[in-house]
Amino acid sequence: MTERAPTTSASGSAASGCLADVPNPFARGVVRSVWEKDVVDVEAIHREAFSALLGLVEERRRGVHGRSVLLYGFAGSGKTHLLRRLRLHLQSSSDAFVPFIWVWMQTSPGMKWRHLRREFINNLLRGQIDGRNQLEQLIELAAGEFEARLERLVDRNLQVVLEHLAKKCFVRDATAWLRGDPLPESVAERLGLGEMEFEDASAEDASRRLIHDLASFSQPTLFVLCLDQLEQLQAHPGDRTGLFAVGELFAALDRIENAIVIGCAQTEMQEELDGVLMQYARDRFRPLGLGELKPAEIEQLVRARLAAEPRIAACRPAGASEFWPIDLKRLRPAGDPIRLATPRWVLYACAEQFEAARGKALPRPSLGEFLRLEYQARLEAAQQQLSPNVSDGILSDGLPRLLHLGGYRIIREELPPWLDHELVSAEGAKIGVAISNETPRGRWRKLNRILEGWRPEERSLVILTDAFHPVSTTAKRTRELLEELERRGARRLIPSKEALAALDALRRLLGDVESGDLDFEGGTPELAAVEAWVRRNTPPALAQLLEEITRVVRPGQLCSALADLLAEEKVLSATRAAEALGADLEELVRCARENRHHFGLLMGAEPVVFEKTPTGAGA
Amino acid sequence: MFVQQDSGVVEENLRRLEQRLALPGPISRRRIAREFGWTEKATEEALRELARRRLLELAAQQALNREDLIQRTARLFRGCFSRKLVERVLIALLREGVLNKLPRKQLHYRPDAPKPLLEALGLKLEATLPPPSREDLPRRILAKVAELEEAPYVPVLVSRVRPAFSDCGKEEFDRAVLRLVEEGRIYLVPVRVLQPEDREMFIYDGKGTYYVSLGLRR
Repeated sequence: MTERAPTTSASGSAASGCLADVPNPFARGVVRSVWEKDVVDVEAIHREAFSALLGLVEERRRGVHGRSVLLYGFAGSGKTHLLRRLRLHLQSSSDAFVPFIWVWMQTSPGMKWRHLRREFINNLLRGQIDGRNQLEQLIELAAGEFEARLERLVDRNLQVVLEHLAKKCFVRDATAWLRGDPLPESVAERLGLGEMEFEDASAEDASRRLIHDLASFSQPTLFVLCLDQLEQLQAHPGDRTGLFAVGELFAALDRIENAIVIGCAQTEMQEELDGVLMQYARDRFRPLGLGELKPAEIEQLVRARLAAEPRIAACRPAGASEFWPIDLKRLRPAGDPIRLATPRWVLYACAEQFEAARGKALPRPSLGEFLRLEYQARLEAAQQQLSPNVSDGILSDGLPRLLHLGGYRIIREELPPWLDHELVSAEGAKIGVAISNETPRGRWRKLNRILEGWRPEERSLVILTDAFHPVSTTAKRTRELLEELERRGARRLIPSKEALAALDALRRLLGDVESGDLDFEGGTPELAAVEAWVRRNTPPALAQLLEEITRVVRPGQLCSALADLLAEEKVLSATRAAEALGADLEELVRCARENRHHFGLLMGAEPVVFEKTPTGAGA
Repeated sequence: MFVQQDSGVVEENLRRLEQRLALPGPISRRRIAREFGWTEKATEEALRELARRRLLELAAQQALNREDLIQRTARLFRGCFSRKLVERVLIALLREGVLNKLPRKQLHYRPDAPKPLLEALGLKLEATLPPPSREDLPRRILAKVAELEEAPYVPVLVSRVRPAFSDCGKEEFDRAVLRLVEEGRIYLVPVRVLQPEDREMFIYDGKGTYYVSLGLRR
């Protein structure tokens, strides 16, 4: 926290009034994406690190395959900002075109390749230059030797899709396939695609191969691949699976000759990575650090921000410093010798001074109030973005975080391929969690594997199929498998759309804290404090999901069946629903009432049950 | 290979290794390799060399039976170099004729052995250097961090710095580091997950926070 500004003089009061309507030029402190526009950049800041990154690109242009880079920095030190500068530099340079891929690594280790694939394609579809995106430019560059480049590819489906894109045919479906979205069989047939991957393990492998294939197709064009916020691969600090995933990514991407890989991680993660990764894995990258701002850099930052708002100069009293209303002497972290003068901290301190100069103060909510607002904002965004394509990622990344908060130890290493997570209670009870959101054929295969591999005496089992992926009434064999598993003691849960939205908001909130992107008073709140707040304020839908997963008593099958029925029918009279499920009306109404986060219930002469959907959720 | 390095480097590395082994807290061969940036093979060679020297040192002080000698030597390594491996080194020394067999199965080493043999073993009989002064500690810490820093603002793990300061206690080392922090010369990185066994290694600020690495402020 910085010192308060001194009382202003009479001329100062006039200046304060003048500043009243001027937007605070220091208010924006976090660059969340390399694609952000209108960001004030000061080239002098982190100049050495920037040169090192440019050197990496130059080195690769000369055909030298040096080590990748892992950029370490404290929260707010400007890692993403620096990557943005690199993107702008490369895209405005007259040198050869270098596609720029920036991936925010909030995903679970088990889905890292699918996540990377999706974001890889999303990024290629951005970066419009002359009305063409990066993918279009890549295809154009290949024009003279298109057939020869296609021959390099292992995946026939990728060859077909690239041919469509080169001819600008089926662009929407072709890019959807590139992202890894499931396509209806009729669409796949129209595109001329062969069999696709149905199961998690093979889909991961296919995504990894696709990235390698696309890189191979692009050769000799180099591309920059930034893996930002690698710490988000961990469900919680100390999560070894997330650390191994970092090592795996670097090892696999290092083999791509034309990829310039730049990872970013919090400085605090260094010790854990060092402790877990073997020397050969650490040899894949060299560390680069971002430090604090030197006084000259602070001056330039303040000058650039003030210049970005020309009305401030007009308000400046005669004889005042060019930095007015900022007092540079007070821009050193006070009272905490361990805190560094990172760009974000300096901006926050300047924002405070600016507000004080115009007689106001930055709002200072309590941590609890701040977190409530931040969670709410993420919840609203999650409700808008919720769709069948993202629910798998939300469950895969969000559940371990939720279960960790619930006091369970999460195991994700060395599990059978049909199991996604295993949680161990304080008493040592083991519960396996299998997420079954695949395409109908993939689900059928996975359930078969579960049936073959699951031993109830080893662990109890929860099978999750979210509300976006109901089991169709026509999927007879899948239903039989589920019934057989339930008969053997497995529990089937259907996380509601409300729970999925809340889980997405929760994982984003925790992820932002871990990666230092939650800006609270110029720093980041401590993860332990945020976790404690979440435990006290767990959204009811998540509390219920946690309780349902960890409940040892086996619930009835009625809820699962009702959820599947309402996923298709949406609204039904309770009587008709009970008839359809062969259940007692009273029992069905009780089920709907006890699971109010899944189902809506309107009582009256003819009770009605309906699917509960959060506001704004996609179908 | 470890023993093929410049003899000065070997001596320095063995000294560091010995100091590291003397530090409290968990230790393993893999951990040593990681901290020192050595390969597993080089680590094993260094441990073997240290075992060889320790065996000779103990056998020079007093005649010991085979089991005692092995046991006392293996204790130094705290599990990083097993009794079985120590025994192999001992057998090699017996084969080389460096150790003498005395009556009652006791083993003894004669330091008045021919000079070429001592040299071949890399042993030095000179007096050791005087311990560094306490006032030098902050300066030595800064120098060590600067030496180990891989790149500016990539902090150095405390576990890599501490072995060079086995001549001072943990509290003294922590105090010196915290003083450097107050002077604005270094910064610290707090630990994310604290394992109880790591408390002895990490820097403690006396207010409940442990720090896992440190770096130079510029």
